[in-house]
Amino acid sequence: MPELTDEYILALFANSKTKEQAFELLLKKYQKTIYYNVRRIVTVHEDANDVTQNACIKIWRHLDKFRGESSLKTWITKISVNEALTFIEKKKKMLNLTDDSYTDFLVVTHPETNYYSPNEIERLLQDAILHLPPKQRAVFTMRYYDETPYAEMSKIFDTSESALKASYHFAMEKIKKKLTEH
Amino acid sequence: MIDIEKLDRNEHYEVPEGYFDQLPSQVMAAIKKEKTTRRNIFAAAAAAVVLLAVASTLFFNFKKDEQENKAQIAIEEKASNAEIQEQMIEYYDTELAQMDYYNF
Repeated sequence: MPELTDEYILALFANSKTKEQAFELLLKKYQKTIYYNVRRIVTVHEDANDVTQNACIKIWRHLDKFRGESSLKTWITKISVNEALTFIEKKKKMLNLTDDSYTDFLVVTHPETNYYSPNEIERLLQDAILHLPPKQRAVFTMRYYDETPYAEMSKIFDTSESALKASYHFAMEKIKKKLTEH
Repeated sequence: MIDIEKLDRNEHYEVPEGYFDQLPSQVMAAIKKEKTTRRNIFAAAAAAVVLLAVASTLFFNFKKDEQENKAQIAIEEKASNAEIQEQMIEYYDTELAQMDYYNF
């Protein structure tokens, strides 16, 4: 079955009779984009599931305000990333932890977060990524795994392209340094 | 040394089996639940407003009635006092007349 266009989904959403049907189609199309962007930031599946559901409810509430100034995917990713970063901030504040101590907390409480890959090199890479601060981790993974253009990332993070390039570069340096330690 | 640029860039995070088959319906159920909750909150708020409006109308009407009753009672008391005064004057007049009569 060919993938439905965003225009078609939005047209269905604009009609009150087909609104819910349209949103279900949108979820089927973008659920993996939402989930994996969230998961890379919060890392634990249970947290990622909660944040994904909250992000989806937010998208539902605000979709009628979408003006098409960016692509629908960019707009959805922005909401998802913001929701995940807010979740991390709240959790860190609640547990009174810093970025580093929060990562240690995750590794201790959810060891599977750090050791899911059977490949030793991939495990080392995952560990290095996990030790990046949440926003830098989001920037790095979006660029490294999805090869998202900087122009699109600039809209998602509300940050200049040059600042994002610098953030990616520093993240890469940290990861390479961590990998050479092994 | 590991060259990060040459590594396989597949998504490594695993999800429970069938997770993405169920996620859309779970989200839709949450949205429907939220819609119902919002509707109930709106209905409760509307009911509270109506209740408040009825209660204040009753309260102010009661106050108004109370004031009117008080005014009515005051008028009646005044009338009653005037009547008593009149009766007393009549009584004293009679008494005085009788005293005059006896004095005579």
